[in-house]
Amino acid sequence: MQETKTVKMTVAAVVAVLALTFLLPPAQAQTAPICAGQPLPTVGQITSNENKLQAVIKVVNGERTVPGSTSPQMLRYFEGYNPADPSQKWPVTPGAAGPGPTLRAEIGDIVQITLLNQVKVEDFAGTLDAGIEGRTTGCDESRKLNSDGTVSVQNFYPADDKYPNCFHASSSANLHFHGTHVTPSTTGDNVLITVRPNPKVTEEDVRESFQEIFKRCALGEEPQRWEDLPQAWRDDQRKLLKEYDETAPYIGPGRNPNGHGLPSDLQLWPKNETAIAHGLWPQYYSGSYPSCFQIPKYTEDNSGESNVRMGQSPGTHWYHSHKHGSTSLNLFNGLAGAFIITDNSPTGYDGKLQSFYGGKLEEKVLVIQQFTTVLNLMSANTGATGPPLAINGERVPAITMQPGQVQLWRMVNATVQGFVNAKFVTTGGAGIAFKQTAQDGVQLAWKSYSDPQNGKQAIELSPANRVDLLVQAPAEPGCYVLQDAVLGPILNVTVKGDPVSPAKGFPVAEGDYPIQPEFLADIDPSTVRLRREVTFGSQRAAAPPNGRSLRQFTIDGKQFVDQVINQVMLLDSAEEWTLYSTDNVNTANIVGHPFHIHINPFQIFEVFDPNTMTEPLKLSPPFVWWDTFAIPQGKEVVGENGEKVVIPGFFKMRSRFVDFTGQFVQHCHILAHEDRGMMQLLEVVNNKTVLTHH
Amino acid sequence: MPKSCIISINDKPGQTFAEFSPQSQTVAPGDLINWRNNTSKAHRLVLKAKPEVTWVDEIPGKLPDQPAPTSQQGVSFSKATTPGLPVQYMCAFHPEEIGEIIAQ
Repeated sequence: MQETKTVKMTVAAVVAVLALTFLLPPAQAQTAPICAGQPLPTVGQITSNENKLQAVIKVVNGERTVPGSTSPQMLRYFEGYNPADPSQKWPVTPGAAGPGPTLRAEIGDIVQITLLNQVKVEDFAGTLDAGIEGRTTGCDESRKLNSDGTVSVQNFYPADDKYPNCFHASSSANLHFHGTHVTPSTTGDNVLITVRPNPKVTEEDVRESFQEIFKRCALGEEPQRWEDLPQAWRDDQRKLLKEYDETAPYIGPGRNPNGHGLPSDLQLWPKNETAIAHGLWPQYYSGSYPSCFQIPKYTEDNSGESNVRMGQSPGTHWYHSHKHGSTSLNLFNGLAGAFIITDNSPTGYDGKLQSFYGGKLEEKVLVIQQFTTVLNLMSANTGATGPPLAINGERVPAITMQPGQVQLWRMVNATVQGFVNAKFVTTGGAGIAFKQTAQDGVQLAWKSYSDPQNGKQAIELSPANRVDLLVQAPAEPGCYVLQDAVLGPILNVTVKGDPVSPAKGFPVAEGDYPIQPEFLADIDPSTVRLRREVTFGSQRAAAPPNGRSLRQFTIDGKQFVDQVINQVMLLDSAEEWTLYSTDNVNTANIVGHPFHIHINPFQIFEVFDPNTMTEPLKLSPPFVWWDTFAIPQGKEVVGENGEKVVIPGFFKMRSRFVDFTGQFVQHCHILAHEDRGMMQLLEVVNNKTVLTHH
Repeated sequence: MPKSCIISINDKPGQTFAEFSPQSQTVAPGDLINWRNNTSKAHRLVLKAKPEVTWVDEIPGKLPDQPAPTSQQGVSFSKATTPGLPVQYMCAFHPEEIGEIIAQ
């Protein structure tokens, strides 16, 4: 990757209006009217009905063909359907790798998702959880062979990676609803749970229990404790986890003669029992888990008060598996999908845009992924480059537009490590025009949208970023290409057919643009309660003889420790954070560590890239909201005494920790870094003393 | 891109020992190879030419109604200096069980 250029462009994206580069001036279009490549596949949707998004999402596995390959490979993937409308089912044909179903709900809806993990562990190697802890290191393992079959590196992986900050447990899963502002606890956006695979558990088995949970959840009575869950499902979980404890492969100390059955300190059910006894939410589940929460709607009453301080911003969000240790492999398998949250009220994001285009604004949801079955660190072929990008399961697909047509593109970077930095190029004629309307699922303020520089910047997405674009085809038919600065063409646009008449461009009057909800106003600096500094970096030990040492990624010099809370924030407080990166081009061959924090988005107001700037860039309000932003890399310089000194890159942001207490995480969204320890546990605690009557 | 492949260990009809399926597996450098034990017996895989070189630690036998255990360790060839030359391995517990990997 070209760090300097890309970080510079990332800065441009921050302000959305300070584009640092201009598109090539329009020239004449190609004569060939049809682009090469397959049409962009349309991913099937599961939509809400009567204020409920009901979905059954299964994690399953099977032989799938990866884009660009001809031989099928065994992959895990999401299979989903709407139990209230079985016609909403995706994938229709599972043979092609791609994202899971697109979920679509309206602000205020209740989300009710039955997660089933039906992965067949016999199809994957070394992917059990606690079962492997006793056998080896707890990490996935590989050995490097010479061409004559002798072992050249016994401990090729994990090398010096240590459990739990290593690749492991990739057949386990959970769901992260990336970009949602909901509770991180219990049945909400809870990534601290582990759902073990159990293909024997079906939707029918859990339907009655989950219906009871969902019914109470719709009444605002989400379960708070284990005892709040239906007895039948609790009994099933106890039985299934105990069965696992008794039969999991184990050949460590104190083994049974048949090599099965975990020692007591590795068993899962006793860990759950301990948590339950302390009133905590247990971590381990077998085969199923209910996700249930309301998408918060900001509604002021007569006195100007809202039930929430921060509503959910309507926009392009996404969901993916987020089990620590297996996130990267699971996303490389394809365990991700778009989650579109709409506001179709007359002044809302979707309602207003559709109204402007007479209800004919065509949407395209573009989920960008990378596919592989083997993580690079596991493979002796260390020279491998990152997998190519695919959009909705196709490499360089083609979108068809009518001349003059405007479409709303919702782009999701669901890759493990892919940075997109793309521009439309043409060989002639007027080119494709666009205007960015949202960043990370949060709409831009009118001032940012209407800035003349909007539409002239590169389209940039770090891993996990989303952008919404109004894209207009030129009047002249032809083939137009969206080209990445490093990867080359990633998407084609075929413009053909009858011109749209009358052609309608982009909204140019504030009255035609969605009103930004009040809760998205800039955070008042005077309300900041606390300032923090958090540093992303890495270290590497010397390699042992005949072995190797892996770079260890850390936050504030430490790797993730389960159940150790690194940052505590008060509910209903605003804070100002500076996120540093001490890594540089010599220590990490990346654009920058994409910082992501769950539950609450943040506003960036200052950026410093020492590779391109001499002083920090102070941004102008209104500030753009993000939930993921690549921290500019540091710059290595020579100090006074000839020593190497790193000038860290940084950005400054403000966020409000409102509406929800509970534990969640922040991490690098290069997911191999997250799996290997670049993650912290956070907690928002209530600032009110709770008095109870005795 | 490297690929993952799994070689099954299955009971051999009419025999007291098992067999590898496929018996001969062709891979590219970097491909990750694992073994899945569909038999009730445990197996440990070693290099046939040098039985003291363990490729894969013991894989427990399969229990009734439980998933077949897979090997904890995967192996991959860093490069094939003699492409097409088979490298033979066998089970340390059951020497009749012999398989081969061909690195292209």
